[in-house]
Amino acid sequence: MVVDYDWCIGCRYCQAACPYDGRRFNWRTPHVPVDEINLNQHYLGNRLRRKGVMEKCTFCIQRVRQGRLPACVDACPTGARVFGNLLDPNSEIRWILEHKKVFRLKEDLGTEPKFWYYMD
Amino acid sequence: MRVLVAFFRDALDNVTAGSLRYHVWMGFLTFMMVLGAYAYTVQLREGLAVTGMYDYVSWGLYISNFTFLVGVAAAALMLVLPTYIFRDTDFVRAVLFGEGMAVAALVMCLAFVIVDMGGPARLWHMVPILGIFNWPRSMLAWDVIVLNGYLVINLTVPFYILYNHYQGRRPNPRVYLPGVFVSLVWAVAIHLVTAFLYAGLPARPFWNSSLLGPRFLASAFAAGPALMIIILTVIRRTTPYTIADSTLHKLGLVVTGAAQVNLVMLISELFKEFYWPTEHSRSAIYLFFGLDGHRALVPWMWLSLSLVTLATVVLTVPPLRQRTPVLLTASALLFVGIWIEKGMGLIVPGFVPEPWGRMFVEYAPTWVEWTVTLGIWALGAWVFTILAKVAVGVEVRYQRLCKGDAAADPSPAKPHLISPASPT
Repeated sequence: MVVDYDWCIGCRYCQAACPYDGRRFNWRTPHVPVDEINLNQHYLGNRLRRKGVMEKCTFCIQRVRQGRLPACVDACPTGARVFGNLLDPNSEIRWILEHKKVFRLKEDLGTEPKFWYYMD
Repeated sequence: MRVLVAFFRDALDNVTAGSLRYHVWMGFLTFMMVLGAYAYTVQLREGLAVTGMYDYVSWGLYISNFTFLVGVAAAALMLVLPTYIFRDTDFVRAVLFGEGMAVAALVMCLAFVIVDMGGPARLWHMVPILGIFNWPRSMLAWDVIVLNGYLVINLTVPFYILYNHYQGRRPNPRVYLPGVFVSLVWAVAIHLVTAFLYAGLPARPFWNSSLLGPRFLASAFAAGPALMIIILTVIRRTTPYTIADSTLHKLGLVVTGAAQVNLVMLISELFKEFYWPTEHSRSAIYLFFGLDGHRALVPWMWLSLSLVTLATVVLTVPPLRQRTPVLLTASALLFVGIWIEKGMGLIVPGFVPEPWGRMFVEYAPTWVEWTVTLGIWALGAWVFTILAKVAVGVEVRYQRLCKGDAAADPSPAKPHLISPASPT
């Protein structure tokens, strides 16, 4: 799920509806120093936000669409994070879901998050 | 067409003329609106960061007032139903003001929603055809439909009646009654849909209750007519328009019944939250007793509880209720009590504690929010004053025309507030 920062009207109903604290609002114009701006931007991903719109984790759509992993997965020193294609039966994530003890947060709400926690 | 132009010209003449007290009142409201507009420019420039809202309490004073005012608008039902359907003669002389109050409340509702938007300039994104109107999936789209529809109904029905009275004609019930029937269903719909907006969010257990909708209606039918009692008292003291004591007392009966039902529902909510508190009761605990040392809302909530209980008990005793000063005081207390409870007392605890149970800084509105809020209330009062003044002008004149007919007087007295219509 992604947010179109040009289309959002900033009513924050989605923030009220989110049981996972997964959304952040741009209460003011975000400031990024000019020399730190990543010029390789994606419309729905890492581009500069405007004031008064909602945003959330995009699983780094600008990287994933190029076949790379989200930045948090790349940065993780222990490999505790696994990202993959749930539709691919041979993917690592499907192997984990089938062989490890996994759980999701607030299952009772029926939101079917595509985010699992796993342990051995 | 010429009559229509004359109507609006006379209405304009009417609202721009009046006593010194009237001009001071309108001047005061205009000043408050300008102040509110200034505060809003600050918010537009800096963003919503100038409000007390943040990611863990993302709705505040604006949405609180919006929710409360939807109820005030819906309360017009309590005047429209007896007047047009039960043909109750006591309400006939009050119903136009009830509809005027609904219009003013809806204008305030729309204003409160717009000032709460992060991108008000992009609002056209939800206009059908031009943008994407996510109906029927989004409850917010439903709310847009019911609020704007209700505004249209409450503008057109009274306009038709006033426009006919202006021309000295009796309005045709076959024209306006369908609108009246729609408005009855619609009044319930605006408040139920607004309740569903919150009740439909399982993420917020405090709102996720099947009692929320009925409770909204009960408190609305107490607070709205309570305000109406106060307004009608002002109107009959400051204008030549007469409103009988019996009208006020019948409205008092409506307020009493609704306030009693509201209290019963409140008790059942308190029972559910506190008899066996679960993780989901933490918002209510925060609201009534404070949580982890955070207790900003506690004094407000107990004040509200005391006001509502006191007013309901006083109103329940007929000898007390029948005394006009007592009725007025109880109405005012009830109105304030419900405003606190259904505003900040409903919206803020929905966000506290946040979805993982953590507590953060408590929400407190900033000066920008208070000023914008006062400005919008002034806008509502301004709209209502204009609508009521035109209605009084037309109605007083119409009554003289009717009396003139009854006395077979060929030349009715020269109208006091509005010059005669040019016949077509």
